[in-house]
Amino acid sequence: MTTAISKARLAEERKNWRKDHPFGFFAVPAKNDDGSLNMAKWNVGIPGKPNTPWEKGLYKLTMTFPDDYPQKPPKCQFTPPLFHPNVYPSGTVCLSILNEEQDWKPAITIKQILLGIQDLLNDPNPDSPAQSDAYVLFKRDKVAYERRVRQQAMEMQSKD
Amino acid sequence: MDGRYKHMIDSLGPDLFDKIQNSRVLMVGAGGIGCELLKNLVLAGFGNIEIIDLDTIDLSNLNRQFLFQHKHIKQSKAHVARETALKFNPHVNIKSHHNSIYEDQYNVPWFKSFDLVMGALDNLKARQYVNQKCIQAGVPLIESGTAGHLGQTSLHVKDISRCYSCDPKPVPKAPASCTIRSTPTAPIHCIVWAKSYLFCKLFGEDEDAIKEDAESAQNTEQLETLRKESEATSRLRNALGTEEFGKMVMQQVFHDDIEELLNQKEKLSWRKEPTPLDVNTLVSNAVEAKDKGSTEFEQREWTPEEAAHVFLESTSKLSKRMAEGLKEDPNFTLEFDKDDQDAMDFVTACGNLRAHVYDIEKKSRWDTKEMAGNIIPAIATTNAIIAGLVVITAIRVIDGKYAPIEVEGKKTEQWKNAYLAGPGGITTEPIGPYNPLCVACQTNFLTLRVNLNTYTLGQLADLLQHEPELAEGDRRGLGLQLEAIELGDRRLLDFEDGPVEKTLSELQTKNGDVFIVIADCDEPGHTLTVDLMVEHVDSMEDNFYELVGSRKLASRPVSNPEEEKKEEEEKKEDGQKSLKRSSDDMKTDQVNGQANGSSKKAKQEDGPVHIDLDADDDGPMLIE
Repeated sequence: MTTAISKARLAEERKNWRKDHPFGFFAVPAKNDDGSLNMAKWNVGIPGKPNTPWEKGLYKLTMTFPDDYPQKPPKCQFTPPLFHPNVYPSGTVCLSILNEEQDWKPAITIKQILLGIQDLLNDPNPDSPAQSDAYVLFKRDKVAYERRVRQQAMEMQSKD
Repeated sequence: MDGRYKHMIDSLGPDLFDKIQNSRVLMVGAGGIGCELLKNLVLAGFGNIEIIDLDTIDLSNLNRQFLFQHKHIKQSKAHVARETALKFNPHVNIKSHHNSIYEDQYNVPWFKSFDLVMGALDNLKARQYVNQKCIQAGVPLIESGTAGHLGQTSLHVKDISRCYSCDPKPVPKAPASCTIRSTPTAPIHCIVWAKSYLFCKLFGEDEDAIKEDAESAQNTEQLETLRKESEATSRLRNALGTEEFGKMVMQQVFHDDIEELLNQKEKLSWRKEPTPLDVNTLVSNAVEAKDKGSTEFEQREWTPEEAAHVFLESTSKLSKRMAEGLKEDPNFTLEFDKDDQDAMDFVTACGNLRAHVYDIEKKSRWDTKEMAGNIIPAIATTNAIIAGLVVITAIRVIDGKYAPIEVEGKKTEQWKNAYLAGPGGITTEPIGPYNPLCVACQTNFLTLRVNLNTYTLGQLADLLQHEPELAEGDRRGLGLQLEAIELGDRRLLDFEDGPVEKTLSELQTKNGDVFIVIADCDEPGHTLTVDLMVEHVDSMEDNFYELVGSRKLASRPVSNPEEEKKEEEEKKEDGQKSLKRSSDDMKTDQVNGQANGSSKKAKQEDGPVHIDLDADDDGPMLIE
């Protein structure tokens, strides 16, 4: 049971996103079986930035909002899991603004979270590795790493 | 009858007493405050009382919840409270519900059936929930709470006073895991480390904790540290039950691990560098305190030698229990329990030794127990005082005396509707105005009467959107710029999208459910919401409906998160290092932050002082 505060905030986020959101992104609450929307779970697409190996890819993730959002941050999980040094094998994103113990603040909007994750794509943080595949390749062989990222971008192209 | 109530009638007058006798009140929660309150209510002559509590009676309740006795343990609080209270005064109707207040059956119409609701709850979420139901039902709510020697009651009436959610409540923050693991700065950090980290590592289920760590740290140095740690742990666990165990643990956690930290390539930022323990010396000097077992010993600070003795003794006991248990069940574990003598000794001694290493203030066993067990001391006397104040407020509510009375356009009296009780005595506060930004109470309320089996979501959306001029009477539309219709956690209609063909009952709408209708409005920075309660009328045909309630809908300003953030950023100029990435993208949007002057003002308005008391948790009574 989400609280009135959490509901009101999610409604406001939904409205603001509809009115104005960055180009190439999408963010919609997930559909329940009865055709209604689940406001506590959003399906999101983040485009790779142009002129980076991530370009042309549209990376999908789900955002899950806890009952006490926005006191606590949403959980952001790439589905399928992403090849990226700061993404856990489960797909969960490791980013300081998404960590309650670090830089999460209730004032951070969904738009800012998604832009933050977009930045993270081509600017990984080597201090908090979350998966070994991407981390090791990133450290040892930048060329092979980039090739892998480009290949992933091809596989995850938006289909429109 | 008259004899029993003579004093009440004498002091309140027959008219008011009559009102009290005929009132219907609800008490949510039958714990510390609830027991006192129910006793007061039946003795004061409240005629019809319903109580609800989902909890059962526990041994630790008996020191202050005087309606319960030892023989009642494991029985329903609500039912037993009713039985006991009826013995005090059999001339009262009491109905008890052993159930959760969140259940569907306790809907708005049910709340509406009371003249007054009294909350005697122990958690924020339930308080906010009951507050919302009371607002929707338009029923006055008296909220109460105690923590140790402090307590408060406050009266919340829709459109008149602040609601319980008008004031933002502080959220307790757990210390970061690295503070616990490597850089403690306060006694609580050492105690949490002893209880949640070391205790689990040695005697608990450790596998999961290690795996989780491994997932979060996969660079080589971190992995190496983890590997070493897990080796050390399995070495220690293999020594369980042996004579050497205690000393081995001591050497590992108070010496080797600390050395390791000090030698790490990447320097941690210390408040003060920790000093590894000289374990051999300490172990040979360990002494049993002369006053061991006394209250004095429990409440004073231990010397490192005394702490070492307690550490070795309790570790040895726990390790033997562990080894015994493992013989019978390979998955045997111990769980920390504040009432387990050995576990408490262990945690106190560990916390003390760690505090010694980091040069942090040491806590007595008594204080450690309070901190490790999350005990909020509950004092029967505070509960009794608060319950008394609740009844005083309740009598005034029944008398209708809670809004300032206006005579010739002037407010003649400000009713004091919040009481604070503490060491300074009892103070009162006048009713505070509502917070115009409050999402819980600054909403509109309407009742929609329809046949749930035939009325569709699309018809509802049309009704909400249609211009008022298009029809007459209760069939006029509301002319809203409809954004969404929500029910519970589901958003049924999102702008124009949704299962509009389905009937409300197909969408699992029940009689008494409340839709949240969200609309846009022309005033910038404002939003308009309507709590729309549905009443099922079986005889209503097809798309017929009745809309009951004021059609003058008001919007409310929306608190702007970007504004708040700016304020917060400004406050946070102490140059705390946060990841570059995060501070950068926060800046991205600040330019767009709309000014919203009214929001700031509203927040600074003085209302009754609210200490957030989530109290009356289980715990021992403090003996003064």
